[in-house]
Amino acid sequence: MNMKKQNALPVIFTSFFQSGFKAKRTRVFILLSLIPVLLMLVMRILEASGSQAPGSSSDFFARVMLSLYFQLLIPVLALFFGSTIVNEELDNKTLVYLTTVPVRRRTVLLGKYLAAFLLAVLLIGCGFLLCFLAASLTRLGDPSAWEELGIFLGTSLLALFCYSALFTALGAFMKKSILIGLFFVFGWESVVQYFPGVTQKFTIIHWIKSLLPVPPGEGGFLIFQLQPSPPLESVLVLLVAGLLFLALAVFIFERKEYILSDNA
Amino acid sequence: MTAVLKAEKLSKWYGNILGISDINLEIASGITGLLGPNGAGKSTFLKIAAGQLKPKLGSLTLFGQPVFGNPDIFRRIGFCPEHDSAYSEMSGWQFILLLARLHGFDRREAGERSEKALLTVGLLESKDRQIKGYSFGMRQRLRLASSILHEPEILMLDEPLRGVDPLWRIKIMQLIKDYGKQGRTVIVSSHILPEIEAMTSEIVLIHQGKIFAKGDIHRIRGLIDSHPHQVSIRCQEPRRLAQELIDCDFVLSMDFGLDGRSLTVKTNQRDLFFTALIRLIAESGVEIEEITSPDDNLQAVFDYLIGK
Amino acid sequence: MDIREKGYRHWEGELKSSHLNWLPIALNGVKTVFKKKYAKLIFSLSASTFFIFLAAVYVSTKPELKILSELVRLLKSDAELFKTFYANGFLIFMLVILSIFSGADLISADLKFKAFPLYFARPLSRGDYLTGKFAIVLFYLLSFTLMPGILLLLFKMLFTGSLTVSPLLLLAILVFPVIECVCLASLTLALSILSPNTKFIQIAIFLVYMFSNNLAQILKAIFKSDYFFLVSLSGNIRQLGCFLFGVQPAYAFPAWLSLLLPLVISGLSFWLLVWRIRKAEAGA
Repeated sequence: MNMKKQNALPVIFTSFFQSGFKAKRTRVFILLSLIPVLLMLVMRILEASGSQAPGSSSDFFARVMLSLYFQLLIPVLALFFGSTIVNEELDNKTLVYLTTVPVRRRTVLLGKYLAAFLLAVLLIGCGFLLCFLAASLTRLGDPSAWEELGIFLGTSLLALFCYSALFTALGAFMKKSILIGLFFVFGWESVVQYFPGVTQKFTIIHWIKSLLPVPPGEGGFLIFQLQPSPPLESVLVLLVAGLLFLALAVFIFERKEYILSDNA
Repeated sequence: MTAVLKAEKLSKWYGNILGISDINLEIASGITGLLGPNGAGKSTFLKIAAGQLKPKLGSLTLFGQPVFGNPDIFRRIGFCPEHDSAYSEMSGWQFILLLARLHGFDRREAGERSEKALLTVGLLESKDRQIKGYSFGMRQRLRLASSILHEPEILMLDEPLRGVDPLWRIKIMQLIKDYGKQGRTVIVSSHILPEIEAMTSEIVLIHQGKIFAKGDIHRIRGLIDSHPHQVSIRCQEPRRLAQELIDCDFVLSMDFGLDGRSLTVKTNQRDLFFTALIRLIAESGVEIEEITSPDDNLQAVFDYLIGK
Repeated sequence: MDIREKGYRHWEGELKSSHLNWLPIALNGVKTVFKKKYAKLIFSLSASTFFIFLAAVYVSTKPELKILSELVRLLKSDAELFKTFYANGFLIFMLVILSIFSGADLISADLKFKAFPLYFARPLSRGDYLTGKFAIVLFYLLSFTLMPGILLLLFKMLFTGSLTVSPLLLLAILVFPVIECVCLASLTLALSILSPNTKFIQIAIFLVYMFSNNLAQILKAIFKSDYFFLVSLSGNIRQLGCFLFGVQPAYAFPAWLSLLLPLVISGLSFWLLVWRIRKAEAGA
């Protein structure tokens, strides 16, 4: 038998990306990520009709990005996609097929992670782009608009990377990772935002918000004491944290034995 | 014969629940039946052998190598799990092809092997159907296909015939026997004794996490002194034969069949009994229609050892 | 025929159907949730609000601690205190977590493991099945709303030494958590029947809660109108609390309107459950 050592990473990535893309739940997430686009269009129509002050839509774009994407959709999608990388295999008892092939466990995890990450990026990225187009239709020739989009897209990539890596590690370590993840994002990260000083730095959202252009008149419905960190520091922290979480996920997955119980 | 699988003082427990305890076992090539009642530890043993679980104590090696955390060894291992699990949104073809690619085959060879594996288990015609549309038996056959597609040197099958229809049972048992004849190692776990008996006479009997017996069924039977052997003789004149045998010390008891044409003898010295029986048949001229050993089978071994 | 005769027993009496066919499902489900990992942690967190408000009740009944009552608005009136207890953000968040914990897998697991034949091969109607499942979630939600509310009231009576309580206040204490919990429980079950993937359902329940809140805030920011809090789950709960307890509304729209969303959610959820269970029963 002559078996060449094929690179398994692209095989795993392609297979799970395709099955994730075709899954019914992806359609639900697509719909959800289009709701902000709908809101942007409403805002633009109101602006065009004179009901809203000119420039409101740009301000609104930043609010929508922060409120709906960065504080909700991105962490939740990252939580779902990240934690199901291992947990779904356990729930469906299909982990055995991926761990009885001559492929290192880290390759399996990284392949699945990349597939989930790309799926999340596509979901969020399309929403972002459409929101941006809706908000900035009249200023597409303005480089600052594209710069703003670039900042939002880049920050969302980092946010998705960091959150999904964290939740991949969480999912590799424990079964009830969704609840723990929800507590982390909407409990810990929400509460600590109100604390001044360095406590905020023990959240991912702090570093994300440090990269975002804060809309004027902040303090309306987003009441928090943001003491932003320098952008370069924020980028580095998010990158390093993401890599560390991913390394932790690999470490756990390679060493942990997963007992497939008959419980749901 | 060199042992392919070697377990030394192997133990595994899940919290307070014992899986297997202090198992010392060597399995060479050929077909070995792993049998025991539900909860005996068969699946635990196979999962350790397939690298799904880590031993708590002791060790288990295949081809002299540890299994857990050693992905390269899976080029030589095929494992068919007991759980009814599959990627239900994939088609049978997609599933097998994925595994073939993960085994290191290029696209062309992966396609050929997948086709061959699916043909072997009779799923080629349904290959494009989603697995969630497969019946239980079809999913079982698909799992079997996943374990044989790379023609491994050692095949570990956990309840491979569960849910399979009678026709495919025979075919799969033949497949397993062919595998054994090729000099490969097959470990088949089951609690359905006739299935194991049809495939092999080499067994490992597990109960309550421990090995109760290992070896040839008949040899094990011979070692069970506490339960005398039964020999059933069908002939025209059973009472005449009984008269001749009654004086033998090694004959413990005799029963006559209700139809008046058979005699069942219990003896604790099988070899002596058969020597005497042959002599008696020759001397008396009694016509013998059939001689059987009702308890020289796996069921009896199982019952006697497990203590039913 | 002799053997067959021996095989049957003859019982006296009539075979009646019970109105409590759903009870075994409910009891079993309650026990199962209680045994889950992290159950005690989640229950402790959910109960923490009660203990904080118990301290607040104690302070409000002590004349020597009146200065604190002056400082904390919610201690000034019983209505404000109970409304704040039931409608505070943390409790609502924990109720959503409890819904996820106790209810996300109730029907989705049955879908996943194709357990419907196990239920419907018995003299069990769809109503019994849904009632049993509904009772499980409702039990846990009411355990951390209605029960602590009643306990708070009892402790208040104990601390004040007075058994008198305003009938309207009592009604509000009893009715408000029931509406709140029926709405959440029906939403949880309705989402649970949509997919056999429990993790997806957990996320979906949470997204509905959070999305509705964030959407309301965004719409308010666009249109500068509080009416958009009608789409917010927690906004409606707060406003409904203000309506039932007769305190100043949290938002500038008629408080009675906040009954609409819970009713709509509950109604739609029940309709969806009945429709989907027929489909699942048929094996679709």
